[in-house]
Amino acid sequence: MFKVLWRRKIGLGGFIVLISICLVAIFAPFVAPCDPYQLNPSIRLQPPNRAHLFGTDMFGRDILSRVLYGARLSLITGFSVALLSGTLGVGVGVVSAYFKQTGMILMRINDALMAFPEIILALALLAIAGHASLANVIIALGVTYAPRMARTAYGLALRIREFGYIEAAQAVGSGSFRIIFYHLLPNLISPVIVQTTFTCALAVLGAASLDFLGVGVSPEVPSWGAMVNEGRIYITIAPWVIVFPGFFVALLVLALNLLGDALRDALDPRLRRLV
Amino acid sequence: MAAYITRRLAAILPTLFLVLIIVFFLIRLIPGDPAAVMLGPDASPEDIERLRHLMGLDQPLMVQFGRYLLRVFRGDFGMSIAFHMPVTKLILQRLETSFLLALCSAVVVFCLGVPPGILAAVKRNTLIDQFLLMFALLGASIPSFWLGLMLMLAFAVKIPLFPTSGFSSVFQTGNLANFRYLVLPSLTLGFVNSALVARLTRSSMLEVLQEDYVRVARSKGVRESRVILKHALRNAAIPIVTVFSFTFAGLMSSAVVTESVFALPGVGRLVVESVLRRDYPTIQGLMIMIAFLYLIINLITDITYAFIDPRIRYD
Amino acid sequence: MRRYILLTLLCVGMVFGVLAEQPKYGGTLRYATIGEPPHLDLMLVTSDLASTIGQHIFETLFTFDEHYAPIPLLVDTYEVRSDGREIVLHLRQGILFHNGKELQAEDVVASLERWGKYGIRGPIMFQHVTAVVADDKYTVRILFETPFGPWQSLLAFNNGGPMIIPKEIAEAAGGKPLTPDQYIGTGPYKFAEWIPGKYIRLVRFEGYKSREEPPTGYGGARHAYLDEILFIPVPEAGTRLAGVQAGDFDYAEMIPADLYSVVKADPNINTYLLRPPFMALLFRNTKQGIMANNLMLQAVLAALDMEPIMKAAFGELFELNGSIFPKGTIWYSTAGTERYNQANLDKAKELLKEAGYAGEPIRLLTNTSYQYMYQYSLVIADQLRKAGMNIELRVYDWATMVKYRAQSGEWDLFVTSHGPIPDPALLTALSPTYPGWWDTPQKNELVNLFNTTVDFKDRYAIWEKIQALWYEEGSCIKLGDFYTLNISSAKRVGGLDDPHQPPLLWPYFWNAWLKG
Repeated sequence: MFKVLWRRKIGLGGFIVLISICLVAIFAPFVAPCDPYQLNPSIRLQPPNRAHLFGTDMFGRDILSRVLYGARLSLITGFSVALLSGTLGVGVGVVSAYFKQTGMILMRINDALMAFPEIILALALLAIAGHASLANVIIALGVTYAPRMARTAYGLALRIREFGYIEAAQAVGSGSFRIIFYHLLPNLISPVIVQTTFTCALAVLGAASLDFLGVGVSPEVPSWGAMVNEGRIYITIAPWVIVFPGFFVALLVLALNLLGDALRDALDPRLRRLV
Repeated sequence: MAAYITRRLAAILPTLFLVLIIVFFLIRLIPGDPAAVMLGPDASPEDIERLRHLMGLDQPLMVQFGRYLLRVFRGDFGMSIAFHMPVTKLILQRLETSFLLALCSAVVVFCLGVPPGILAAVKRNTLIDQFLLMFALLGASIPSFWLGLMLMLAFAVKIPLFPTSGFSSVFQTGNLANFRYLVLPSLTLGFVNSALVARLTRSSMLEVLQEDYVRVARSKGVRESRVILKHALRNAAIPIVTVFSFTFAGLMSSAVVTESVFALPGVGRLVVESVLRRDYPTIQGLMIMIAFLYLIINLITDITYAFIDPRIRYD
Repeated sequence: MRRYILLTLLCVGMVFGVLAEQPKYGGTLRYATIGEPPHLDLMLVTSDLASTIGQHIFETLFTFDEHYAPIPLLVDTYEVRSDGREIVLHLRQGILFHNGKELQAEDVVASLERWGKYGIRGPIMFQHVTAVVADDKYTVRILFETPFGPWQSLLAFNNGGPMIIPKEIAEAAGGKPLTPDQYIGTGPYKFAEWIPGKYIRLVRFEGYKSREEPPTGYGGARHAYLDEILFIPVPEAGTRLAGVQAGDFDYAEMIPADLYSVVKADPNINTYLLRPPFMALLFRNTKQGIMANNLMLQAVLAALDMEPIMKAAFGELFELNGSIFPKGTIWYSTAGTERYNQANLDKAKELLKEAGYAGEPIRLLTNTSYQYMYQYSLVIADQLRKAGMNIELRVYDWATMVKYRAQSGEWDLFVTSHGPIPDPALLTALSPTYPGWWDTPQKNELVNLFNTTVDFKDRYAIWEKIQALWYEEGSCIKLGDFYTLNISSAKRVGGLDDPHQPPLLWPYFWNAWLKG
């Protein structure tokens, strides 16, 4: 893995940034100078100064600390959604490729879902769930991004079918389950890893957008998107409230995208065509 | 060809009906009701109940659905609970904004996506190529709400070149100067959506440039620019057109975040607003419109393929 | 020679200076509103916007003066007989409706009956009314079963209130909201057109017969200098503000409190803090759950430090005030307010112990639909946690919060705000069916007595008792008063700075004019 990444230095850069953000998120209680929940209305909306490097927000909370804790939410959401959509997507895609008839119907539904604008789909799912807890957000986004993965998995699984592995295995008498697990899935790992990385990036972006719109998690929890939303009306008098959280969203997503790109180039040159 | 189109158009109606059923029952699963939202914080529970009764919300669900269906067949999509105007009128108003925004953003997407993509393919692996790839990556990574706010901060607040928010109609007032409200939002949307188009243009062109007919054209002595623009691009166009058309559809219906940042009265924001206010008639009307939009764009894209690539036939 | 020129210039300057301050007839005022009202049938709606617009079209029998005390408007004189069981109203004569018909007693009777039956606040009064009769062309008599103290305030309060419309329209409309062609009133402006999403347009009613007294509050003379008033919906606050600055609008409402410093500093903008202020409130569940214990109420009252709570939500535009009614209104009282804004964490902790609180979760409902509510709920949660309460903040959107709030097993505390009202009889917090469900025999007895007493002094004494009880066992905790910020273009708009016409909650423009 590392040899591969060494060759693409930019990908390495992305990887390093990602790891740094993860470390910061894990050790946030030790790194953060203040309690991100600590309200202090008397020092609200202060510009960056020595005591508060990123300034304070409308409740007097330290923005730097909230940004550091915000990394937790973004990372947890990103990884969980990637995991969920990956599992769902691969599951649906592979099963569809294996069972041809049902597969075609499933893929039609899949395409319909994929054509639907993402954010609206996520919004609708969240609204139905009732109130937006982290679990609901993860499920909504997971379902929203699963179709992509399903498409990719389906396409690849079909190609593998054509190579004859499947027929051969069937001829020898292997059961469906065995075939799927031992023949189909292992060949999918590389592209799935790549796609998962990209999904993680999309999820971080998507969750931040939902938080920005005010329909994501409760804004008490430090969330980069929610911080930008709360700070919007102060853009003329206190722009730092929105500059920093938004920047970190971009940074994390960029790191994930760089990593995904590097992995794709390294793991399977054929994939360069599949954007 | 004509038969194909008719078939496709006919297939749209049952799909829309299905969408309607799903949406109608699904949104009523959302807790809370429009009466409470309308009356605001001072209302007592009795006031809310009285309004619910007046609005017919306490009727059994199937009765409500039946009534709604009858009206829809007459072309009446009902009154928006939150905005007190016919849903069709409301959506059309918002559509103007979304359409113009999508149009302007599409122009930006094209300019930032296609020519640079072609250039990067031609100058593969040079500094220009790397630069474009980084640029595209940035576009795909930067959150649109942040980019929009930063642009607003720079060009509307600190240097007051453009208005910070809002929108004044172009069609209704005939005032072309009102496009200034769309400059920053289209730059935001355009930049973010151009990433995909740029990369796709590049990779599509790369594939095509390796094909035999390109080599043949070059050996015949055709000018390089002609080779690229006439021969290569034509064949690379299909995936580009696909992505472009779906980007346009997406721009129309899901530019929620950008509309939210710049306070543009568009369709995306209407979706969020009507969900928050439990404005059932509007949500229903919107979902049908969006589904219809996607189906039509799908159809137009397929037809465009036939024009670009004579090998494709729909008989 | 030079001295003569200077003198002439001075005189001319003075004349112009004086003229510049004189009201001018003519022009169209453009008012940027936050949205659109559901409709303008004031009897059936409590939307503030409807009242703001509708009060120019429709008038009530009474209205409020600069101290928010009721005074006659369409009524000329009145008598209270039989200890308040009989009210006789003598109408002013020669008042015309917008359709040319003269206002007569039969119109008042029909309007009041419609209001009593279908109006939002009508039933509150009409459950005590036995009959409304027209004695002659200009006299109306209202007969009560028991004396009803708040009668005058209710007849004056046009929000969900008894606006006077022609008899034919009252009967034709019944329980359905008036349609635009039925917007016929007696006000200084008549309804011209409503293009949804664009504007509502009112034009001066040339046949208006104004009162003679100098303006005081909503009452007194209404000159109608402006030809037209346009109410234009502009949902974004930033756009409303920018519009006034750019000259697209003359007046704009509901500017966010945090922009107050910005607009105050702008010499081209006049600011108005509307009175009476709104109330920021915290309710507790007295029916079920931990907070039903009165000692828990006292613990919360002890813990809260109101200044940071209000500041977080309203910047500088608030006032700490323990009295339910604001200073300067006739119902202001300090009864029980020693328990307001104690900011005493130690006392709170002691009271918690006394109440037997053992760390159970206390569910505080809040919402993000009203930004200021969310903001003060965060500070409240923080303070109560510091006092030792295990607060569980539940954040929803407004519609969902209302749904959970209606179920007594789902919450212990919730935040909200209420608009100002002219009479304690209209306080929803006193209603036993309003979430919080304050329903003790002591309170019900006092409220009953309050509603059946007619003399103001007596009523005030009873109100003080109610407010004291409120602080002992009520469901509602007052956090403070907050102001709505409106602005106008200083260059264009005149007539809004008369000290006898303070910026009242529903901005009125019948004595405003356009300069220049």
